[in-house]
Amino acid sequence: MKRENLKLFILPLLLVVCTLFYYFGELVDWAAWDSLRNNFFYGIHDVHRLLFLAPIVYAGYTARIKGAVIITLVSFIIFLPRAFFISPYPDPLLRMIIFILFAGIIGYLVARLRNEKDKYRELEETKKKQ
Amino acid sequence: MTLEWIIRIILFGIVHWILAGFMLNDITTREKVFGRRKAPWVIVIIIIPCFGSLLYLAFHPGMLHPD
Repeated sequence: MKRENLKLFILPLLLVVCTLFYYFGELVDWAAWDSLRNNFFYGIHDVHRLLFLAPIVYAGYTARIKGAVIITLVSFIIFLPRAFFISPYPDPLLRMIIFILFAGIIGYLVARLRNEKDKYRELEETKKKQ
Repeated sequence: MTLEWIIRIILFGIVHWILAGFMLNDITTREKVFGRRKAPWVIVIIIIPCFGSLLYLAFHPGMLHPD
C-alpha cells in the first residue's frame, strides 16, 4: 500500500482509538473484562475528552478549516451518548459543548496557520522566479 | 418532553445539517463515489441523522486529504 493511501486512514484510526479510550469503562462492563477494570475509566471524562484534541488538530493541519470543522463535529457526535445517557455527573452536555467549542477554535487556528504558511511559501517562490 | 430533551434534539439537528452540508457539497464536486451512484448516498446522508454523514465519511476518507 502506498504511503499516500496509508495517510487516509490516520484520522479514522485516531478517532477510533480515542473513542475506545473514551468508552473503555462501558466496554469493560459490557465485555466483563474485570481484570481491566480501573477507577480512572469511571470518573468525570473531562481528561479523557482531551485526547480528541489530537485528531482535531491533525485534521486542521492536513485538511485545513473544513477538516477541522468536520472532525470537531464528528467528535461531538461521539461525545453525545455519554452526555445524554451515561454520565451521572452534573451538566455533562454543557461541559462537552465548552470543550468542543475550544477544540474547534484550536483546530481552526491551526488550519489558518497552515494556510498562511503556504501563502508565504508561494509568495517566496514567485519572488525567486522574478 | 422536557425542555432539556428539546434542546438536545435541536442540537443534534444542527450538527446533522452542518455535517450533511459538507457531505452533500463533497458529493456534488466529486466525480466518482463509492458504489458509483450518487443518489443513494444523498438519501442516506439526509435520512439518517449524523450517522449517514459518518458513513459517507468512512467510505470517502479522501475528502479530508485535499493535499
